[in-house]
Amino acid sequence: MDILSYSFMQRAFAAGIMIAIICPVIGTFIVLRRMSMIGDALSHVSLAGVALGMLLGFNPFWGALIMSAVAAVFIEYLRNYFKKYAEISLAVVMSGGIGLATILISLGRAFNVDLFSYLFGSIVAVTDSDLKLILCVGIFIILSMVFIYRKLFYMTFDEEAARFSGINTGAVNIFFTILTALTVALSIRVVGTLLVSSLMVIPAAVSIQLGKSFKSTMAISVAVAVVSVVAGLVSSFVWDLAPGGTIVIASVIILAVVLLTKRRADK
Amino acid sequence: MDKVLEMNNITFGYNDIPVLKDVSFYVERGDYMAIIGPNGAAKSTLMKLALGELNPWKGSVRLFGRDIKKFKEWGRVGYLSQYATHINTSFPATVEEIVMTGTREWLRPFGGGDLRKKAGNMLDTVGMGNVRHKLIGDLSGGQRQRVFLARLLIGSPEIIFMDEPTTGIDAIAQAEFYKLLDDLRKVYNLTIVIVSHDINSVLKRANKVACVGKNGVHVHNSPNLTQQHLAEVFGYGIYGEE
Repeated sequence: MDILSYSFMQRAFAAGIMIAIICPVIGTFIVLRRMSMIGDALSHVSLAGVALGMLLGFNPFWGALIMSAVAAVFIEYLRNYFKKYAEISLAVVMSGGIGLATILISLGRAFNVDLFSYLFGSIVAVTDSDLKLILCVGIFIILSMVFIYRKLFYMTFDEEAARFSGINTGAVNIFFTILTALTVALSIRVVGTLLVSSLMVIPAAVSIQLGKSFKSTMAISVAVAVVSVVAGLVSSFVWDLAPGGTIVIASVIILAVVLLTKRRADK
Repeated sequence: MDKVLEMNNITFGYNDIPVLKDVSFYVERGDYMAIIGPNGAAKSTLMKLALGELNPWKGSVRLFGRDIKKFKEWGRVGYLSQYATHINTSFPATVEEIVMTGTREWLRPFGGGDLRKKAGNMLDTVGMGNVRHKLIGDLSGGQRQRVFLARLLIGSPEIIFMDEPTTGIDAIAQAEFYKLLDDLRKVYNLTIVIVSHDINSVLKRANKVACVGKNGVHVHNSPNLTQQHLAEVFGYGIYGEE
């Protein structure tokens, strides 16, 4: 294939497929825990991290990684504080993040092409060092998820029973939220801050319709994300479009097809 | 005697208003303790205190001889709530997957043949072997409660705490549930602590009854419990023959 003869496309595919594995694995748990908005909240904060990196002259990627991890801990803190109104924590962090990002961007006069690529993703932007970081942190996230998978599954289904079976649910919650933050930060290079959340939520939305078990639900959501990323990257290359948009639209098309087919089948 | 649960001089309340004052009782191995009382009488609060979910203002709780704050052996404890009728019915997990979580094999994310077999055997025991591959949301409330019982028993607990386990379940399924519990109790040598509104069913079985009422908590040996005792707890006579 011609498309893979370009080294930037090889990097984009490698990074994209890693992201297509971790986003839906995290995303399925997020959706089932009724926290679909957490990806949005964290990605807005990661944009503030990007802006901070640009302003102070360090790699914006690290800024995103650190800021979203801090925000993750803050979300858990707020969630415990507003126990009956858990969504307040997401709204506060999301608006705080975008507010901070706006200030930092204005301070740095950084409304430029680089910022655009962080907002909507870019296939040419993934450098060698970005790719290494994406693969290393990606593997860390996958191993961590294997480590907490069964506990998280128990908690997601029945948190009270999980607590009385001796699971330290508070610790698992914080750890999972930090993994979510890392996933968001890793994904923004390819999909962009504005669209990363959809790569977590849409594949889960498809798989929950089709899954006949939890394992198959996970597998379907990863498959949907991989197909969307590959289709999105190819169309981004062919038509010179921002990959964040093409990837998300590819997944939305899959969701629409599944919903329509299922509706017809249910009739 | 082997005391499994000890509640010593427990005082607890909400917003500076005490709801339990100086409550003491113990549960021995093999006991079947029913906690009964009118709505809002702090029955569930008592259970949450026993499980360390709430901290008493005064007094101490010991589980298997250990202070509840330092208690770590949760594998010896089972807990069943009324969650069976409140689950997210579109949760995409099979009955077998739900039961496997009870094995506490946390580091085996993908299960494995032996865990599946264990789950299958336990589902057979509770009479749910034929639905193991169904989605949990496709079952009735009563069936789900049996599945949750299997999830709990697969971890080999010694004491089971149950908080209104038959709420929202139809009468026939309720009767079947108590009957099943009787059988399982014998087979697995279980100690049971149950909060229930189902007074007749639990009083027939319990050897100890904690009556939680406005005059405090009184523990009786079940056969000694008279209509008059119950009338004092509930404010009216409710104990009928089944």
